[in-house]
Amino acid sequence: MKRKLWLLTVIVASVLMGSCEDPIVTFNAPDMVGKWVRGTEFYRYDSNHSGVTWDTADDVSEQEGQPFTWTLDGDQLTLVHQMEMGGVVPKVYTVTVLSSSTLTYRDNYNQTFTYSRVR
Amino acid sequence: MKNTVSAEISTEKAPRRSPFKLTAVVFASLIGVLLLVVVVACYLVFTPSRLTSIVNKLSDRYLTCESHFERVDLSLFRTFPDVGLDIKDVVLVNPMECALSDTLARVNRLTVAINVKDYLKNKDINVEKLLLKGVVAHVFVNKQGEANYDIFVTDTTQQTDDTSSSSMPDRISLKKIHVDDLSCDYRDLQNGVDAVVDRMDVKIDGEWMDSRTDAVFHLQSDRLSCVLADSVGLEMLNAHLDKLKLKLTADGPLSMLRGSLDAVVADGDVRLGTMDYVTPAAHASRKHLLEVELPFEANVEAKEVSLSDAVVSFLNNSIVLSGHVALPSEYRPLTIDTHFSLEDWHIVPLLDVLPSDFTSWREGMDLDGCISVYGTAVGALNDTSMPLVEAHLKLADGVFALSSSLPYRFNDIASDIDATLNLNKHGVSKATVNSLRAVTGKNCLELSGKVDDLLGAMNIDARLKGDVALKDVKPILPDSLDLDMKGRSHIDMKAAGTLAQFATVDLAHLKVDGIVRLADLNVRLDDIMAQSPNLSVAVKIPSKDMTRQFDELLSAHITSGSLHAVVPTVGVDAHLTATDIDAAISDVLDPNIPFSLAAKGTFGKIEGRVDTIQASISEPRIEVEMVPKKKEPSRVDYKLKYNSSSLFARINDSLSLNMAGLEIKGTAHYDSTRSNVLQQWSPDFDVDFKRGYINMTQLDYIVQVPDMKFNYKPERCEISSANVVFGNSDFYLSGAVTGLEDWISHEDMLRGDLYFTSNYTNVDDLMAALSGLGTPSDSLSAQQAEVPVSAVRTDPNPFIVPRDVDFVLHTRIKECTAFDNELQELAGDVMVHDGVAVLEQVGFVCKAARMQLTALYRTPRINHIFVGMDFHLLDINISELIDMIPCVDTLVPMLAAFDGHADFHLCAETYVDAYYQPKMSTLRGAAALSGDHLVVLDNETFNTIAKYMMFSKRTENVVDSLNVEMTVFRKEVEIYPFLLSMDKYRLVASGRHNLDMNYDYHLEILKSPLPSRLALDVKGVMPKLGFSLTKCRYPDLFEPEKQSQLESQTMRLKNMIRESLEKNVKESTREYKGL
Repeated sequence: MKRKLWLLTVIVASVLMGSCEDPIVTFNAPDMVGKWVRGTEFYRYDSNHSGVTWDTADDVSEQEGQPFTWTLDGDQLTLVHQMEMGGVVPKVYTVTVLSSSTLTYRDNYNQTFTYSRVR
Repeated sequence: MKNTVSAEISTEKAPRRSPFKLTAVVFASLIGVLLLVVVVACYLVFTPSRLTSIVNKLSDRYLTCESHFERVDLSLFRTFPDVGLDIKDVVLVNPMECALSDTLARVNRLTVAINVKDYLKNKDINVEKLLLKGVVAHVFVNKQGEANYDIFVTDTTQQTDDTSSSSMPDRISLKKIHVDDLSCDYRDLQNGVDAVVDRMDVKIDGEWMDSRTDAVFHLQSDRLSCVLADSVGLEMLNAHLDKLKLKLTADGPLSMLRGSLDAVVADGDVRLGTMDYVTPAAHASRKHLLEVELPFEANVEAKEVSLSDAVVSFLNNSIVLSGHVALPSEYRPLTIDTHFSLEDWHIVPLLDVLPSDFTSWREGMDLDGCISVYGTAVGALNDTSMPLVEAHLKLADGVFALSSSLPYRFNDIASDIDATLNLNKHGVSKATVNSLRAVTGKNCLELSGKVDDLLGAMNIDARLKGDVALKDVKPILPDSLDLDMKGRSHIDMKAAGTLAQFATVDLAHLKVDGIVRLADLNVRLDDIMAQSPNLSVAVKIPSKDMTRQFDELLSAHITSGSLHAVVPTVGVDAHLTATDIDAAISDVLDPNIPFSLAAKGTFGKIEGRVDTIQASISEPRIEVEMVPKKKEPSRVDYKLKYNSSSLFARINDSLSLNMAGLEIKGTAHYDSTRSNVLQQWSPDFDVDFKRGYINMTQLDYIVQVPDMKFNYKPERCEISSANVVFGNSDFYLSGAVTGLEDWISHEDMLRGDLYFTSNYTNVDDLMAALSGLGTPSDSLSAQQAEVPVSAVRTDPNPFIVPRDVDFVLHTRIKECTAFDNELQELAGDVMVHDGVAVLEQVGFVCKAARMQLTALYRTPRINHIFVGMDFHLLDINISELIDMIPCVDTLVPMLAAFDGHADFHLCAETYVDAYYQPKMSTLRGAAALSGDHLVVLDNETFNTIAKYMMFSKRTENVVDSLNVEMTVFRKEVEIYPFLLSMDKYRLVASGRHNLDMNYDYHLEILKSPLPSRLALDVKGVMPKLGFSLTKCRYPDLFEPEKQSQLESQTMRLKNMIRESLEKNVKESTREYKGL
């Protein structure tokens, strides 16, 4: 009986939670273009929707950055990291802030990433 | 007693005198009285005054000049038994302009005795005596040729009419002609002659009768002078002969006249031009200037003279002459057939008395010796013919030194030379040097040979033998040559050629054949040192024609039992034994001919060291040719043949090489205009070696090469076969490597297409051996220095992929160990491309599955190394896969919960540092797993999930199908939602965990016996996971018509991942059954 009550509670909570959705915000892709940094982690978004990322903490320079392609659809930022070996690693983020100096997005696991534009 | 007896006999016979005897006595007395009367009558009739008057009158009649006869007496007793005239004070005066004196001659006393009876009876002029005493003459010829002795009246009529009187009388007897105390001067302005005779005595005793003569001629003079001048008055000859004595005897018929000529000139002077031929030294020698002893036989009618041991001496240097001389006649030229000899002429005394102009070449020279010459002169002498002269010359005790240009003093010079002198047209003069020996210090030289065409080109054919200390050779070498030599050389050299060829060292035309044997050789040239107990060099010009590839100048044969050479500055130390080299070279002295070389040699052993490289070669045989192209000398063709029975080489202690047999055969074409070494040389070689062993310190084993054959051509190295045992790996290599020339000059990559067949290969060993190949060592060191050094880590030493190379290795390997994994039946291509190693779609079978692996390893720098793999495991045994690749369990943690076979595709890449530690910020990965009927292992996690999901206890832990896509990004491993069908349940699972084992997973039930869908979040750090119910995220994920935008995007990403992975699987891999 106790297990059933617990299960009922979960179902109700699931229904309530599933009925709430965030409003869709749209950002402009050109605003993404540029070089962004978070700590030692860098991203460079190019206007042709390509880019590279590198981390200087691992003794990697911009020239040695790894390539990706990116698209920004509304607030959905999709990065597809193209491996040299042929496979791809897609990453989807939700942009929350995109200003001239700050880029913030979060992933599906609610982990937030905030970057500053490198001038 | 005898007289007594005679007296008695006389006494007894006196009374018996016969009437006849008595009559004779009386008749004789009457004749005596008659003669006495005649004499008295003559004296009374031919008185001096009368005779003087007659003579003076007759002289006026026959002489054109003024003459005076002081007194003429008839001489009966002084000239008895002949009748003579004794004339005193005869004076002939014939003045001429420019003459020294008006007096032509003055004779104190002149006596002539003639046999009147013979003349009257036989018309014989028998001058029994002609005596002159106290004669002074002044003979003069003016420039017009008029002589003051031309004093006789010319009667042309009488001469014409009475030709018979001018004929030679049948007999002329000159029993005694004496001229005592003759002084005469002779001046001939027309011919420039000025001569003086002082106090000369001349005696002629003899007779000429019926073509027979018997006479003695004596001449003696205190001084005889003669001066000759040319047309302008310059003095050509000025000679004075002092104390001249001459005796000429002749006896016999003119057809066979025997006699002798003896002459002595005690002293004198002879000047020709400005040169004095008799030097003060000659005067001081106190020897007779000239002595002649000339016995002869002459045929006056035939004009032939024979000499026998005639001696002509100049200051006691004698020439002995014997032979026959035929004077020229209408029918023949002057013909001689003589033998001459001069013995023991000492050079120094002889040169001392010669004019300085003739001996100026002695300046600074020390020359001595004793010369003897024997020879003959045979033949005619005229304008077109010269006698043939043959001579034999001997020199003994010779000394020669010329300090200004020859740093040696030659002693004990001895020579034996034959010479033939033929001055006739087309005649050949020649000399044969039987021996010419000289000693200098402890050196001995001996020359022999012959010289043909002595007066022309001088064709020399000589042989030189010598025993020379090498240290004595240095003085004749240039001072700039920093050379020290010790040891001895034995020379035996033959040479032939013309003098001009020798003088110009025209080796192209000289013929040389000889050998130089060196003993105890110890030589240093600059910093090159060489020692050999014996070394011989045989030289032959022209070459014995080793090859017809070029015009060979000379060939040489070099042998040595042992030769040790050291060049300390470059660390060279070589030792050769049993050296035997044949070599030929082109004309090195002709700057227009490029240097060419052909050589072949055998050696017992070559041991050497060059800097840190040490080598030992047994029984090498080497043939080399170097021939420049005629039209393009900068391009050179080379040929090489080499083989050796064994070769050992060591570089430091880091590398050693041992080969049982090595054979190299090939060519090279050098072109200096090309850019790098290989392009310049364009080698084309076949190399074959057997039983090679390579020992490198960085390897724990010896690399064995049982046999290897390859051919190198420009741009292509073709490996016919190469068997290699590399540690416990063995492989057979064949194929081709191309582009080595461009690779060396960094113009292009080195390309290879090789077939690699092996029964067993240890990849780890190969990688360790090939690490860093092609990358500059200084660059590696610099990069290593930049790597942060950890206290617990050793020096960074990652595998650096060779750069600038593009190799494809077609592998067929039965068994292989790679990264501690045992692989079998491996086949595929391994590519190395410019710092990138690619394992290209290699199919192989391991314990877990058929596999296809494409791996990429790139080393842009030591601390930034790319590692990537595209890995496909088909029909995988999951548990064995995890054993083989433990990291798979890390990437897909739930995989350990399954058992069975599945297909697994993994694409991952990351950069690692110098210690192979992944740079997590660069880690990327994508994987897809698909399998059917997988058994879920009964472990604690499953039990917990089954508990929360309220699985039936009878639920079978078998997954009907499983399709999982996952990605790795940096430290995040993300499992895209996948469907699990198990029993009555259909579950969706997704989530993410970090490599630090921090989990965030989501499970939800799509189908179950329960009326409601449940979702569960699993979070936490392994092994402490938290579980909590949550709302469903993917209710319609696997129902396309109902998918939300998120679900649709999720499925699109899943497909994107799977397709990107599966598209690389080769069909052959799916069907691969092993080798």
